[in-house]
Amino acid sequence: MKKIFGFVIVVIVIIAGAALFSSDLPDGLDSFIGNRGLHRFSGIHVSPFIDYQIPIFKDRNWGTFISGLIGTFLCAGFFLFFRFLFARLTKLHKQD
Amino acid sequence: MHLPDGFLGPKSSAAFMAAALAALGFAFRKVLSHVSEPAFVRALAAAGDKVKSITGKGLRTLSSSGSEYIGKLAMVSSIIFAFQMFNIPVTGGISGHFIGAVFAAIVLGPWGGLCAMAVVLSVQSFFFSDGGISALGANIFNMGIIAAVGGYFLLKGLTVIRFPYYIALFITAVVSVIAAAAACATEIALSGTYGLYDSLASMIPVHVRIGLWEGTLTVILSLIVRKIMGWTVK
Repeated sequence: MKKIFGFVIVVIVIIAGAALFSSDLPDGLDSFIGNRGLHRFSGIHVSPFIDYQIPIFKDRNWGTFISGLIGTFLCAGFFLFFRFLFARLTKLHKQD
Repeated sequence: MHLPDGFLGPKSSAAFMAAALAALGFAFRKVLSHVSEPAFVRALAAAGDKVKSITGKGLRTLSSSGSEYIGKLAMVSSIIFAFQMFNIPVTGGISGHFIGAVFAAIVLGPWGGLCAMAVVLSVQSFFFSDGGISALGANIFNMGIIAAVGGYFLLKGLTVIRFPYYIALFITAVVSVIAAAAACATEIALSGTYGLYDSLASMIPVHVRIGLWEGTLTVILSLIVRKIMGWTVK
């Protein structure tokens, strides 16, 4: 449990680092992201399917940070959901 | 490294998607057999000493080691997603970044590594528009099949010829990034978006530098998961 908690902290630190680092790039990334339009770190769009502005995403740092948290949660969540589903569907039932 | 929509023609996109789906189908079957055990094994354990044998086949249940393995899949995919957030612009909509495919392959095996990479790339593509949806097959081909599966077998080859493990791991990680970048550039050239020389000239120099970082980070991460998390790396 301690290891998993430590792991979560490390992932959050990495995401925070990426949020700070990406906003400090002098040119390149900002204009590059602008050119690509719907990008995860654009600070404008969350998803190609959700085309509206979320206030906090207007700030690039926060946008990046929260995008990162959502992304890691989705990646981990996919496998954890698969584990839950697989265990549930193939569970043996005890017969008295 | 993530190809956006519009860089590959429809035929190329369809061909790479078919190749990626075939490889993923194979990888998923391998992972499924790794994380499960025949149901009678568990039933036998639950029955105790009174029952000596049960015959039957078909149904499989999640094994306890399999449950742990899927937990690893979740953790590795999330850390790869986090590291891939450090993007460096290359040219015209293509970015360079840490891939993490060799790290995934040494922790999860080649097929588990491919599944983890496919999930990371799919989440990036569908939810964050990082990499086009039509180019998802090509992205899985480059970063999953070439970098993870190819990297794993390259590492095996290097250790067979008695390379010290961590040096072999560093070399493999560097080569995996360059190979994936070269594949990406070749696909762009085959689709006629840019010439082969222009694509390779813009991708390779950047990815050699990224590869050196990837090699260093892969060695550090493998040491961390070995020493702190107690995981076995292959």
